[in-house]
Amino acid sequence: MTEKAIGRVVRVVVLSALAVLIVLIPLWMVVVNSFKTQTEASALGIGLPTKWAAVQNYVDVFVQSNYFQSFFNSVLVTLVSSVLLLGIGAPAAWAFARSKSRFLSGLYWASLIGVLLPLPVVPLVFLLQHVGLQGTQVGLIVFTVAARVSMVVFLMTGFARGLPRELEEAAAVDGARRARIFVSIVLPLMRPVLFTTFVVIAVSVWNDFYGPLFLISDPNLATLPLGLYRLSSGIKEATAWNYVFAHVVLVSLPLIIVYVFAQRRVVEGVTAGAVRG
Amino acid sequence: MTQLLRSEGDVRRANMGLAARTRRIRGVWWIFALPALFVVFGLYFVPLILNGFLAFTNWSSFSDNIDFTGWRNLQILLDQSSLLNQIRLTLLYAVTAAVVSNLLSFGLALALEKRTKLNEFFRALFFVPVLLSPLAAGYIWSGILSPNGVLNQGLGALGLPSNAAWLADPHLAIFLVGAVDGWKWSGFFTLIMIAALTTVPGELKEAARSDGANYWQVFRHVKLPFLAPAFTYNITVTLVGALSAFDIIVAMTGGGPGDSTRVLNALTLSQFGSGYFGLSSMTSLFVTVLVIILAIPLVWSLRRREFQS
Repeated sequence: MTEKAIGRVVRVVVLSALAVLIVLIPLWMVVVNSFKTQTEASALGIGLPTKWAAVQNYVDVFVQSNYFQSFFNSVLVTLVSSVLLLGIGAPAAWAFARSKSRFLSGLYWASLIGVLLPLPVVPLVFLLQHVGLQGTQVGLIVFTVAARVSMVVFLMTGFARGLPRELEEAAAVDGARRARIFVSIVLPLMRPVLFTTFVVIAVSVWNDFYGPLFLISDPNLATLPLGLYRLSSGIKEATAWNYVFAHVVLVSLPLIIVYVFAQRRVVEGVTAGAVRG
Repeated sequence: MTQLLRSEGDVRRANMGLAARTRRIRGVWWIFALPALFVVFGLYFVPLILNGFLAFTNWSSFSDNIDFTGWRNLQILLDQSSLLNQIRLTLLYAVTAAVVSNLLSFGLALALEKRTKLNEFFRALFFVPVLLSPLAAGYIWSGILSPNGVLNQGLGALGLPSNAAWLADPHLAIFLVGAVDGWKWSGFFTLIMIAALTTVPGELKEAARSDGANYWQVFRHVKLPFLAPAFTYNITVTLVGALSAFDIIVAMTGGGPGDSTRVLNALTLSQFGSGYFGLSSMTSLFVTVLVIILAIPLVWSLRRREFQS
């Protein structure tokens, strides 16, 4: 009994120490140094600032990086891409899960290509250039959707396979059309996986740096990570850590805020989505 | 996962009578898959095939013509003495990321398996790095690992040597950037491992324990087989992702010191950026072939072991 109790205490102590070392200290270092003056931040300490420069730092970064514009661009690209991906993924997942056709099952495996192979970026940019979409947000959205469609099909088909058929079959017997069955029966049942996939996709699109780097050159169309890169790659040489970290906070904060409020659902959603895979 | 599928198959066979009734309208299924298939083929297969062509052309920003130049791009790539080194660095990065994220998440999953309030708090906490942009994660760790950063401050406080310039060490840098990649994803993989652990039937654990199995035996013979699919997923996803990794390196070392963290994908981008599009396609074709050579046999063998255990 006491042995068990000791074991429990040891476990909590070890977990807490690990959490402090690999999560809390890194995050704290970023936040606290984003409040310091440049001179003090260059020491990279984790103590409280002796001279607070929080307002100054954040105002500077806000203005220099055109934060509101980038924030709006990020929201736009993230939302539109996620909705498009869910919109094409859900019906496909249902079809792949239910059809017994060998042909469609072959197409299912073919559409998982992107889970394994990296997106052929250069030719895709080439194609987008030819249709005049390079450097536009539409182009970035097309790129984003292409890069993630396989993952979405994979996640959702796994889930759709586990859905009970009885309701659909009852509706089919009643003479409902397939599109109607999908909208009024299947889609509501797919709500958990729609949510999970949305979370997974939204996080990855929000943080994506690769697509914007290749496609967006106009600063007015930049997303937040691209803005972070442009600002930081310029000033890191001068070790203005206060600005770099203030920008890191501003880029990360929107997702963290959403996470704090929807934490349980996000964690459960991701777990549920993963089991089905 | 395999367990689930198997029982699902049984259910499907039992439902054959019902299924026969719905078979009538089978013809319309493909319409539902059409938009997704259109995207996959138009925006993945077509560019992939196009990549195969462009890799053998002199397409660049310096000329309006695109001509076939045969194997010249590959020749140029191979003539760069750094290519072998870049392949080595890409692999080191990928393996480091896979090892770090799997070890961390494996340990965390076993520790946090039970669903208690405290464990849920820890799960949520360790998940936070997953939400950070890789670029932001890179900037954070380059601060920690800088010569006067938190790591050296901590080592100094413990009385250990504290003047190492971690990221400036050309032998160490690639492992450090790979480890940050692993760190960033470990919270996600922890959840996947926990999900896999919850598929272990409780009766199985109890039966093993009442037969006198100790913790290690229960772990080895009962839990581990159920974790196999999670390992397959985690290792594949990390390796494939890491082979085309890039953001963390940009933020932490920018490819340096020297060329010691310049992985293949960074090469693709720098060639693209300087206008050698054909050459850049060849490099990315090279990465694709590398993934095929590495990942497919790996998935194959992991899957096979999964079924055996």
